[in-house]
Amino acid sequence: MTGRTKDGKVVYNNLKVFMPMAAGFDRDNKMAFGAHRKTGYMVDTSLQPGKETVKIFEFPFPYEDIEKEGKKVREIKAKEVEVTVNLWYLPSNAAENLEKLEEGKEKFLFFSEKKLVKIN
Amino acid sequence: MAGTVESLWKEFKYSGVKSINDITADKLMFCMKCHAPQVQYLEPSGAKELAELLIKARNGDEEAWKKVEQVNINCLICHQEKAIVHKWLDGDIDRNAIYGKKEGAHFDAKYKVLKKSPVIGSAVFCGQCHGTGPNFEFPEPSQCATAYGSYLHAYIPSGGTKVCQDCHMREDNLGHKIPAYRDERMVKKALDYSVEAMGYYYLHKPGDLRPTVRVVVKMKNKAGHRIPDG
Repeated sequence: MTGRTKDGKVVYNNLKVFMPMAAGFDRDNKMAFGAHRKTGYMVDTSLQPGKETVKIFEFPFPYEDIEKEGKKVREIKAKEVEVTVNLWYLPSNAAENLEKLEEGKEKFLFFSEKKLVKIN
Repeated sequence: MAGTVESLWKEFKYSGVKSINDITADKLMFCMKCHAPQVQYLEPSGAKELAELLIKARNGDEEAWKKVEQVNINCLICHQEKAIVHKWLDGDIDRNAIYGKKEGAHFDAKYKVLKKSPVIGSAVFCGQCHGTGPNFEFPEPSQCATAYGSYLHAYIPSGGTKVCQDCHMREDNLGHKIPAYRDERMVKKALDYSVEAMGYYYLHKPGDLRPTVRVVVKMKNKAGHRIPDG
């Protein structure tokens, strides 16, 4: 989920990962990749069948506390933020590499939604 | 797959494989059980050749890749090799027959007989490969797809009534393409979502009003298994 001001500046960026996580050889609680290492699951954050998963993101509108005429004032730098929520499926690869991955081959966009959020 | 082949000598010191020259079909089966069950019938020379091709293909050799692509889940895997799940009840696989939903004649010059697989339309059929967890039958259990396990232990208890073939084949005439995440229709069928957002002032303490963006994302999984899984 990314939040941007009108000038395109990113003021918030957050990533949630949904996947079952297997320990390597089911020992030491260390997550592993590779079918030859995975045994069981120790954590499962994947989307479960028949269930609704709710994720809430909160972040501040950009602001600065300044002194004006001898008083402390909170100046809101941007009263509009556009949030973009994308759900990507990555068959393999880390989400940090998202920009470099080829869409339709290494990454698949399940949904994308933009919302403009304002404050008065 | 190439990484897994190499793990036989790089990672598993008791695998009995010191180098690619020691590869036999049974050593590959902890992947090939599902990825290419026909590999179990390979002679040692064939297993070694396949292992070499996998490594070459991984390293970018296009000729090797073209050969490896031919070792795939073809008609005979589902319509013969995997057609009988309950061998004590239904007998062993007839290697001269093709299995489907009914009995009769089959048009092929080599496989002239069509026999009925009692499970070809059931979830258990797909579950043979799309797994439940570790494959304990191997001396070194692998674990890849677990969608069938999620189907059994999460989808069914949640009141689910469909089988794999309903969503992946019968509906929308998807047929033998059996699509999943690459197909937009499947994604739309599998997932409902909504995004709501608002701005508000959070009062952290007296005099400390913080202008805040709040985004609520809801995702409903309508598939027969966890997402992601395989």
